[in-house]
Amino acid sequence: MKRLEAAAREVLGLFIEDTFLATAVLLWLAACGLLVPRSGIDPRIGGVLIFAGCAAILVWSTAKAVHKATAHRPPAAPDRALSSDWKGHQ
Amino acid sequence: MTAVWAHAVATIAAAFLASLVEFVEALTIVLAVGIERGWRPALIGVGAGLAVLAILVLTFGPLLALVPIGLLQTVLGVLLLLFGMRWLRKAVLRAAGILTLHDEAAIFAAAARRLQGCESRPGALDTVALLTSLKAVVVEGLEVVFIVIALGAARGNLLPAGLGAAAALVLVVFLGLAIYRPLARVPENAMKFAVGVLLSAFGCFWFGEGIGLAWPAGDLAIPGLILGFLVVGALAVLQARRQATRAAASAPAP
Repeated sequence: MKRLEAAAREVLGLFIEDTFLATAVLLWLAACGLLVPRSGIDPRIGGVLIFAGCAAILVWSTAKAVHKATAHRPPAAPDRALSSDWKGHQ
Repeated sequence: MTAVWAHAVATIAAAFLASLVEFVEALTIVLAVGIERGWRPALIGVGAGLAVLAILVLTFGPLLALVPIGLLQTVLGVLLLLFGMRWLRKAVLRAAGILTLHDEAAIFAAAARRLQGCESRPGALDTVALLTSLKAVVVEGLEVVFIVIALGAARGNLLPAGLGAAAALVLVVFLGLAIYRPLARVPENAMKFAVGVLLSAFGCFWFGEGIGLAWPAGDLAIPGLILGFLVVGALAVLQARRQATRAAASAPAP
């Protein structure tokens, strides 16, 4: 059972690493999938909407990650790595 | 005709680059197992891993033909976007210096240390080594299988996608045999950035097709989407660097 759980987590991890990114993409695609075909929008604009939403989510998600990493930065040791993820910005 | 070629070339490139990244990661672990514990358990693990992947493909592959094409495109589009944007986000954060770069030499050394700490009975099959090798092949191979299916299944492009992945496998095996070390000098982050861009563009395209959008210029929309994600990714790197520099400047002095 534990092995199955570990395998399921491994598969889920292929698609979901940052919950904000995954949730925002899914919500945006759900909104586009429901609204774009029914609204009679020009298909070109529909395509641009899907892309623009994903692009905005990417930029927002990276900005959030940078904010989180830099907000936890210890002031006394500016160049020290905070965690295995934080490299500093020298 | 141009659109068909553009689609096929983009599919081969995406499958090749994505598979290259995964095969390099698998090679690092298999090399660590082979060098530290011997090639017999390492290669049996590789063979068993490939068998597991083949069983998965043969079991679930034919089921794809039963799924209506619109639903298949939508689901694969969503999965490709989740997968591609995850890679792109990580590559952006690594390029901006927020996350540490992936280091194959360090991963090799860590895997070798872990393997040195495990004992094996003389004469018996080294199960720790075998399972380590098997897991590396299954985990990384599963990603390759997903990428090939996601890129190829939505429009009968499995052959170009498979060719791209096969070319990556041949290249990595050849390089692994030739230099007998982890491929630490592969520009992995740049490749992950490129793969993130390509998979996100394909994901956007398939999702649009799946919900019934007629893309302007048909398949030629794919190069446009690739360019779009490339520009957004590059801007995200610049923004992340600027944000990190501002935060460093405003941090109180020690």
